[in-house]
Amino acid sequence: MSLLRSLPSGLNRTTKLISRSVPSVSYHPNVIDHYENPRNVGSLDKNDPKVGTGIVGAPACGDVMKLQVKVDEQGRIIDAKFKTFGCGSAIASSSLATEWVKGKTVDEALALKNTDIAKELCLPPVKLHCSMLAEDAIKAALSDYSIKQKQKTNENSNTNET
Amino acid sequence: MYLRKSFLTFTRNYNVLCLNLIQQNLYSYHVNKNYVPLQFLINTLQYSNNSPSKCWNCNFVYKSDLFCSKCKVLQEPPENLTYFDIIGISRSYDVKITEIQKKYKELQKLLHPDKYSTKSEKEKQLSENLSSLVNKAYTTLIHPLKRGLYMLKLNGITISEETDSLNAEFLMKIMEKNEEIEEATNNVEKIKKLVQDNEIILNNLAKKIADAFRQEDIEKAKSFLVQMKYYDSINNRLKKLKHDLGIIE
Repeated sequence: MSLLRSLPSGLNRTTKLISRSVPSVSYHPNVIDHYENPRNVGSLDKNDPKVGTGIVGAPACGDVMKLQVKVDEQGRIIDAKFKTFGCGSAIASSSLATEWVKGKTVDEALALKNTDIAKELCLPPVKLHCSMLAEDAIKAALSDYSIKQKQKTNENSNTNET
Repeated sequence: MYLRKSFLTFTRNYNVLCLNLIQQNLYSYHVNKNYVPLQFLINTLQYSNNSPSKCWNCNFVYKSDLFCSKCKVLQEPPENLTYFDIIGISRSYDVKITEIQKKYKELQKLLHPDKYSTKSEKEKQLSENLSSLVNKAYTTLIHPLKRGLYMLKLNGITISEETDSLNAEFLMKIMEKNEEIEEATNNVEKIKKLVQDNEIILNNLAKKIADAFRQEDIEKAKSFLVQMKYYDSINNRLKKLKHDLGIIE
């Protein structure tokens, strides 16, 4: 929500003025909904062994996205948070991604495709890379989680041996 | 009539100084023909390379000039000019901003559509095309990031739209910087400090990019330009914040 708070109060008025004077392609309502009411904005404790953190960036547009997942013992994602600094499509993509991965197992979440996100948000071709960013953020977060789990089991086996 | 007269005196007075400058600027392609053709130039301007340049108005065969040397009307520019040729500076990342500004103003003094409001449709059209081309060249070359990306493009390299997750440490730094800005939203002093810090980073990157281009290490230049893109995004955010808070420096 703090992302929104940082927007100036006069923005609404100016955007209206601009949109009246300049013909432009507008965002799909689904994007605007996620942009105005982003779900799951925030952070999880990245040192928690149950939390996987993925940070990805888009070098072509300078957007950065952080996506975190919390996984329980059964391998189900119980919580997901994101923080994105970038365009509306990138924010909406990551917001939707966190909504979708919640309640899914790790394997189900890995099967999520950027095309699904793009389809849901009706992203135009020039914004497809935003959905790709969200997919890669999920993958990065889950791989961070699995690395942590492996380390944990290694540590456990090490302590058992000694 | 006045325009014509003033133009004649202009040509006479500044023959050596200005016209030579313009010739080198817009027409240095005569010296070096190995430029990469630019798509938009091909789209907007039709120019036949094979036939000798003839004035479209009086058919006089003219030699590389912005204006026909006989009837003094504006001519079409050749197609494969880089932005560096258009402004008239050497193709290098190291540019003098004051030089670009000066040459830009000189070109616009000659080419601005306002000067052609009483001229023929064709000349109006030509001046519009040329003037917007000069504008594009100017805004690209004056900006450290845009200039670098344009130079990559001239080398046949573009920054891909692929996700970049390799350099996690760097991305973390960018993330933290953004979070810092987010927290400082209403703190004028903090914002000013962040703007200064960011400018230092951008300047350092520009120096590194200039070095890389000087050593003709395009890949190295590219990796620094990618970093610059992230800091440029931060810079734009800060600028917007500054504007909203009414900070004037």
